[in-house]
This record gives sequence, structure tokens and C-alpha cells, in this order.
Amino acid sequence: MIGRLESRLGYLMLTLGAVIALLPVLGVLLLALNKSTTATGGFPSISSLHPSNLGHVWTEAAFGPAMKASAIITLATVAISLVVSIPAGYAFATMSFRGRGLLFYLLLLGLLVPLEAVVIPLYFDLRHFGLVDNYWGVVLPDSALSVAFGSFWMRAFFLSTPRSLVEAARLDGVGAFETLVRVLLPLARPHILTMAVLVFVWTWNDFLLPLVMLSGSTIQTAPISLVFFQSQHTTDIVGLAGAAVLTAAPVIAVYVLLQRNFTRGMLAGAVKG
Amino acid sequence: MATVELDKLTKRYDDGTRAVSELELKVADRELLVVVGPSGCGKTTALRMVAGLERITSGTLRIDGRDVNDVAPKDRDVAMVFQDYALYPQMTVAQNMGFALRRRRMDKAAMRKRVGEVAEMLGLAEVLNRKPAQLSGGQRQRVAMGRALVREPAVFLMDEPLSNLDAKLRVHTRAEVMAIQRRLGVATMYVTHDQVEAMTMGDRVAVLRDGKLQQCDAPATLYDRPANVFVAGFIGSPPMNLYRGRLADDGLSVMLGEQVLPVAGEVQAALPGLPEYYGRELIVGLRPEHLVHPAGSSDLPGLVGDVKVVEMLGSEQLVHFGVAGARPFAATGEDGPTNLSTGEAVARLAARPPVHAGGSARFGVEVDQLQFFDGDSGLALAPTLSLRRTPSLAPGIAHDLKRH
Amino acid sequence: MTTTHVTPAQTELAAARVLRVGAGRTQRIRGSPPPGEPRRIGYLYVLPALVLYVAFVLAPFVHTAILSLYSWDGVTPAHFVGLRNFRDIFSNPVLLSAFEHAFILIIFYAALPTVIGLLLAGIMARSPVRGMSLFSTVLFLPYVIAPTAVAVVWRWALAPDGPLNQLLHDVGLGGLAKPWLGDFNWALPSVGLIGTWVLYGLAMVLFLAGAQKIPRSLYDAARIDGAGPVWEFLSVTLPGLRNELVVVLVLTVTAALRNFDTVYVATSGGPGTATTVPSYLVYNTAFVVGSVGAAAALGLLLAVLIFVLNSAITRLGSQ
Ligand SMILES: Nc1ncnc2c1ncn2[C@@H]1O[C@H](COP(=O)(O)OP(=O)(O)OP(=O)(O)O)[C@@H](O)[C@H]1O
Ligand SMILES: [Mg+2]
Repeated sequence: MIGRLESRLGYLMLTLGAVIALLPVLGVLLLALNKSTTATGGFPSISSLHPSNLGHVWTEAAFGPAMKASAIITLATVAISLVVSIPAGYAFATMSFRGRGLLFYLLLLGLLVPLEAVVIPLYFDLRHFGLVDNYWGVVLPDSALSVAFGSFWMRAFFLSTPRSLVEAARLDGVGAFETLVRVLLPLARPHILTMAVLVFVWTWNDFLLPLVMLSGSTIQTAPISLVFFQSQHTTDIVGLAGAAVLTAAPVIAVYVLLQRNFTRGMLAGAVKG
Repeated sequence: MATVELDKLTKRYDDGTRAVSELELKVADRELLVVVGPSGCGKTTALRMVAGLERITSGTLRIDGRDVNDVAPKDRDVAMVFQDYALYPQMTVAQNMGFALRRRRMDKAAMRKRVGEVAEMLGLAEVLNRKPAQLSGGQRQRVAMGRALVREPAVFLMDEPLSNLDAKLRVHTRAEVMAIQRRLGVATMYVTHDQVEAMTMGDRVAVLRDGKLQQCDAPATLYDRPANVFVAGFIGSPPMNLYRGRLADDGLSVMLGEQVLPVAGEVQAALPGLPEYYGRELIVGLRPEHLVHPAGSSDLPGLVGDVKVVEMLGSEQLVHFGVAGARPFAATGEDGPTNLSTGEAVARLAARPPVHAGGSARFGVEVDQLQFFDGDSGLALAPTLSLRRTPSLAPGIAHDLKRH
Repeated sequence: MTTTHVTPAQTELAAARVLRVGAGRTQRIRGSPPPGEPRRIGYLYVLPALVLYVAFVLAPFVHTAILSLYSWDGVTPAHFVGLRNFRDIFSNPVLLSAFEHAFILIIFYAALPTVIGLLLAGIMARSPVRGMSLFSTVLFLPYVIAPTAVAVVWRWALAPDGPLNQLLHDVGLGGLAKPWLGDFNWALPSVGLIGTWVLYGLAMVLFLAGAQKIPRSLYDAARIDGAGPVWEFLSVTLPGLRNELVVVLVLTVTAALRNFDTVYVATSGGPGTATTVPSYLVYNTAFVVGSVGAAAALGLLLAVLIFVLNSAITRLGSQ
């Protein structure tokens, strides 16, 4: 009896939480699709949908190039951090080389270093190497910031696979690299996907690094375009809503598609430096 | 055609654990050598050293006379069946079995033929395209065997390959493994903690305890002439009854507490050193089947005891009884002390007539089957035995002796 | 149900942040490894990760520490000034207030979501949750959306003539209407509530998922011992959620200290300095004002703060 009451109260809380989370999102989505460009206040109605507003914002705020830039930066970062983290996690988990523990500690330190504590030298130092105002200036630091988590995450996976699998391969005469590629990686798919989703979300949403590193170029990421658009069109509410929707859409799509993998990472407490 | 020789192999792990101490073993060509011992005695460690998965701390490992201490596993020409099978989950049965071959740049057609043959032999032909997750436990076990077989290695290593099977399948598969090993004649080192498995499968059986070899002999020898009280208590189910005793004044009989058993003439002849034990403690061993049913043993020497429990097995009955006035010796077996720690002896008797629990009875003793062990070292008194006495084993057993 | 199983990485990852675990599971290499086990080749595998990490994280971090000892405008030569930048921070009320604001934001970003999440977990601990997958998808949504987009939307919603004020007028509470983000008293709590909105769902999901894993028998045992709901929560649910508590606190506290995007978009630190926070100051001081050394000192202090708070949280969780 009491259990049922509690359970109902719990569902009430969950539902309320879900509504509060979802309502503003839906509201903005509807607003973005609203016909009237001068809509003010109140909750927009479904009957007056008008998707062409998004097209208007797309051109007005130069969202085309911004989406492309964001996509390039994000996908490159995901690719690089995977390519670099997987072998590192593999070696930390399965190979014994001198200084392994120390190097791993060093890498873990990266989980604690906030971007704010490195962004200044990144800008002034990378300027010397021509790594500012182009994609590399964002992609390389972003990848590096994901590497600490990535190596950790992949190492945890390789530690969780049965050791006998690697040993069987060794007895079969399979080299370390092929063991990784042919034996372990096929098993790591969910784990790798989780890492990919997390890095995707972090990188796409990031604002500070591209703001600084791309300040002198015409390259703009989606969040930067959104913020610039906002500073120029503070009163164009429908346009703003459209820009916000466009900025968030790719991440939401990836998230909904790979929700399970994302949740797994969040439950593990994943965070980027 | 290969032999494996473990010459004083020792393994000390980084945390200081001495898992294997100066292990001396030799696996002859075509031989199936079983390594058996209680959990944690170092069986797996020994096997992994042979495989090359564990660095040898000291000693020499020779395969076919060649020192292979520093040879990588893949160049040792050994194949291993892992306890958890270690099948590659994303590969089909055929791919699992062929994986090592492809590494050896074997011709595709020849490879398929070899895999096919082995699969046929193991009854896996129908499941070649399945993945491990779609197989039964027994099939998985056979794939693991098959993966080792296709390589036609010089040496097979198996670490408790049957322990994940249910009891019935285990008996069946045991026979299969033996048949295959016989047929291929590959030197095999087979690890198990199950002494029944060891006794039925091994050409010879090596008993390990705390990383030290206790005895390595043919199963029958191991059973009839255990080298020490540990082997005596470990091999055999139910295990040997062990009691403390001393020689009587006449030197021709042994006293278990108040009860007296004569020492048979054969035993006296076989153990010329026995009289030296006058006044010293002995451990006397007697297999359950060498006790005789109370009905029909009145002309034999006997032991009197209170019958505690009777296990009726149909063809025979196991009678647990306390030997009045005698001090049992507890050998440490696989699951801690064996049944003797309860102070009870076990007799394996004909099923009829049934013995009833509760009363006192006199059990006949085939005194020519008595075994004698040194009361301090636990070593068998037997100058003619073919056992290897590891000097270092004495302290461990002496420790047991002190405890009881 | 979604993946409610928590990987063993969970505690480790949280703890690893303050370097208390992590390498613990890496066994020491003393004796030489077995023949044929890959050894030195391992360096090759970790090299790319280390190079990237050292070049773009570790070296810049050290450089930040060095820069914090200089006075530099980013153009002309820098002067060594010792610890003056730090002394300035501690003597300048505006800079100090930024850290004060950060702590206030922790209440909104971390404490509030944690309380909400724990409350839910306490209520629902003993009943299986149906539709968990759907709930968690929706509840994570605010966390997934770009913080810039979130800030843009809330800035509009909290605007003087925005929907919130409109709503207040409509229900006859027009007197309460105000320019939330432009009000000296309300700007900081408003920014904080944006953080609460982003993070409460995450806390709910994590705590609920954690509570589902607490063995039911513990609750039965508590019942038999005559425990009331509060006692039950304190003696069973809360201890059972220790790992989740660490994770949630680490995530939310870090988010509270690293909310540059939200502040930049929603208030730009204003009105006045009502919502300046360290992460915003780092950017503003370095790239707008042009006091690179002072900004580096701020960045370093922020890193130290994150380090200290994370290790405190982890220590709390391991007790
Ligand atoms: N990697 C290791 N590091 C330290 N000690 C170990 C390691 N592996 C095994 N040991 C220890 O070495 C001893 C022997 O272990 P081993 O696995 O060889 O026993 P086993 O005879 O195979 O036991 P079981 O029948 O339970 O499989 C045990 O005390 C074990 O705890
Ligand atoms: Mg073992």
C-alpha cells in the first residue's frame, strides 16, 4: 500500500521532470517552425507550422558553412581521438613496458585539466606554428583533450576482456596488432560507439575553443554562428529559435540514435578536460 | 614427436608468491601426463610456463631437448585448450579453427580440408558456420579442442578443459579426449583438480601440492603405493583411512590406540626398515576396500568401531565408523581436511547384508594391504618404491602432523 | 530498460580524476615478462596519444603556470612579476567575487540536482521503474543540447518581454515580472537555474539507475529491523548510491565551474559584474582585456579549484 503510493509519487516526479525537460525544447522547435516572424510570448500553436523559417535562418546566419565546419571539426576529432586512444588503451591494458603505470598516471591527469587552464597558451603558442584560424587549431587540441578519457575508457574495456583471448591469439601466432584488429576490436564496438558519441557531443557543443582558435578566420562552427546571429538579431525570436534548433539538431539526432551508448558513458561518469 | 622436460622449474610471481617450486617432470612422447592437485597448488602456473605465457623464474624448460625458456609461445609448437575455451566470439567455428593456420600462410584449400577433417572427427561438421554463442557447452569445448588439433602441434596443453561441462557430458568427453590423444600420439600435459579425471585419463599422474611435486607415477602405483600421506589422502574416493599408531612390543603388530593389528609377513619382508620405528610414531593407512564386512570376517584381524553413517550405493555400501580409541590423522585434501578429520574411518563393503548405523561392529582388515608412513615426515616407508622424494616436502607435512 | 549496469569503470573513472585509483590495477612490472609478450612495442602504441596529450594539454598547462608569473599583453615583451597576479586576484573584490559566484552556482548546478535526484531515488528505490529507457532519453536531453543553444533560448525566455514575464502577467502576478538576467539580484540565480535545468535530469537518471541495483533484500532487512522511510534512506539507499553520488557531484561541480558558454551568451558577466565567473574571466581577461598573465593566473586557480573539489568529492565517496 505504502509502496504503491511511493511508486506513484515517483512516477509523478519522473513525469514532471520529463515535462520540464521536454517542454522548452518542444516549444522552441514549434517556435522555429512558426509562420509569423514576429511571434511574441505565449506558447506557439501547432497549426501554424512553417518550416521555411529554418531555410531563412540557414542562409541568413550562414549556417551552411557553419554546419560544414562543425561537421569537419567534430568528425575529425572523433576519428583522431579514436585512432589514438584505442592503441593506447590496448597497450596500457595488455602490454608490460617500463613506466607504464607512470605514463598512465600522467595521461589521467588530463581528466582534471580544464580547457580554461590551457586555452591561453594554446592560442599564443599555436599561433607560432600557423595552427590558429584553421581546422587543425581546433581539432588537435580537442582530440588531445579527449585522449585522456579515451585511453582510460578503452583500457577499461581491454581489461574486461578475458585474458585468455589474447593469450590464445598469442599461441596461435597472431601478432599484437592483429590481435587488436581481428580479435578484440570486433568485440569493442559498443564501447567504441560510446566513446564516439561522447566525443561527438563534447566537440560539437564546444564553444570556447573554436571561439578563441578561430577568432581571426571566417570559419565558424554552428554554436559560434548561433551566438553571432543572436548578437545581431536579438529581437528575431523565430530566427533565434531556428538557429538554436539547427545548432542542436545534429547532436540530438546522434544522441537519439545511439542513446544506449551515450547513457552507458554518462553512467560511467565520463567527462572531458 | 616430442618430449617436454621441466627441469627444476620455479615460478615466483611479482608479489612474492612462490607458485611452483623446483618442479621436475618429464612428458614422454605420445604420453598423456595429468597434473593434479588441490586448488591453488600451481597447476595452471606450471602449464602456463610450458606454454610460454608465464616467465620462468628459474630452471629450464626443454621441448624435444631444446631449451625454450626464452622462446615465444608461437615458436614452441604447443597448442593450448583454455579452461574458458577462449574462442573468438565474432568468428565462426571454421574461422576459429582456421585462424592459426591462416597465420601460418597455409594454402586455403589445404586449410579448409584440414579444418573439415578435424571437424568431422569431433562431430562439428554441421556447426562449422555457427558462432560460439550458438553452440552448446560440449560443442564449444570440442571447438576449443579442434582449434588445438588442426595445428598438429608437438605438444598439447590443457587446463581443466572439462570443468565447465556438466557431470555426464564430462565423462563422455573425457573418453573422447583420451581417444583423440591416443590416436594422434601427441605429448600432452593435462591439468585438472579432479582426481578421478586424473586417474582415468593419465598414463602417468603428477600430484602437486603448494607448488611442489609430491609424486609422479602411473595411476595404479599412485593408488597402491602413495609416496606420502598427502598423496594417500588425496588420491582415492573415498580416500585412504589414516591413523596414528606405533609398533607393539613384539614388533610384529601395530597398535592404533588400544586396537592391535598384526603386521603381515609380506609387509615385514617389503619393509626391512620397519623395526627401526619401534618407539616412534607411525601413520598407518588402509584403503576403504581393504576393510571387510563384519559378517564373514571373524577369522581376520579386525578393528572395532561405532557405526555412524551408512551410505547405501546399491552395489556397495560405504560405512563410516569411529575406530574406538584410535587417533585419526587428517591429511589435507582438496576441500580442506578429508573425512578423517571427523575421526571416522570409511569401509567400502558389499551391499549385503546391510550394516546398520548406531551399533558397534568389528570390521575385518586385510593386513597385507596396510601402508606405513613416517610419523614425522609423512613419507611412505618403502625402500622399493619408485617415488621421488622431494626433500622440501617434508616441512609442509610435518606442519600437518603438528597440528593434529 | 537502458543500460543501467554501471561499468566498473565508473568508480575508477571518478576516482582516477584525482589520481587515487587507476594505475592501481596496472600491476607493477618487475620481473621480466614472458617471452613473446609484447613489451617495448607498447611505447609505439601509446606514443601518438602521449604526443598529442603532451603537446596540446600538458605543455600548455605548464605554460599557463609559467605565464601566470608574468605580466604580458600578448604583444609586447612580458615582465616577470612573481606572484603579483595571484595577489591581485585575492585583493581585487571583482575577481574575488567571481569565485564567490562560482560557489553560489555550485548550489544551483550541483546541490539542487543532487537533492532532486536523491529524493526521486529514495522514493522509487524499492519499485522497478517502467519506461526507464524513455524517461532517461528525455531527461538527458537538456544535457545533450549545446549550452550555447540552451543559453540563447533561456535568454529569450527570461527576457523582459519574454514568455516567463508574460506568463506572470497572465496569471496576475505581473508584479513579480522583471528582467531576470538583467537584474542585479536575480541574474546569478537565473544563470544558476539554467544550470539546474540542464543537470537535474542527469542526476535523476544516474541516481535512479543506481538505486535499481541495490538488492531488495537490504530493504526487507531494514524493514524487519523496524526502519522508517528516513532511516531506510539513510541506511540503505544513500550508502548504496555512493558511487553515483561521486559521479554526479564530479560532473555537476565541474559543470558549475566551467560554464563559460552559458555566461557568455546569457549575461556576458553582467549586469555589472553580477554574473562574472572564473571561466568567463579567463577568456575576457586574456582575449578582450589583454592581460594574459592575469588570465593565466585565473585559469590556473580554476584548475586547482577543480582538482581540490574533485578530490574532496572522491574522498567523501570512498569513506
Ligand atoms: N598473476 C599472479 N600473481 C600472483 N600470484 C598468482 C598469480 N597467478 C596465480 N597466483 C598464485 O599462485 C598460486 C598458484 O596458482 P595457480 O593458478 O597456478 O593454481 P591452480 O593449481 O591452477 O589452482 P586452480 O585449481 O584453482 O586453478 C596461487 O596461490 C595463486 O594465488
Ligand atoms: Mg588453474
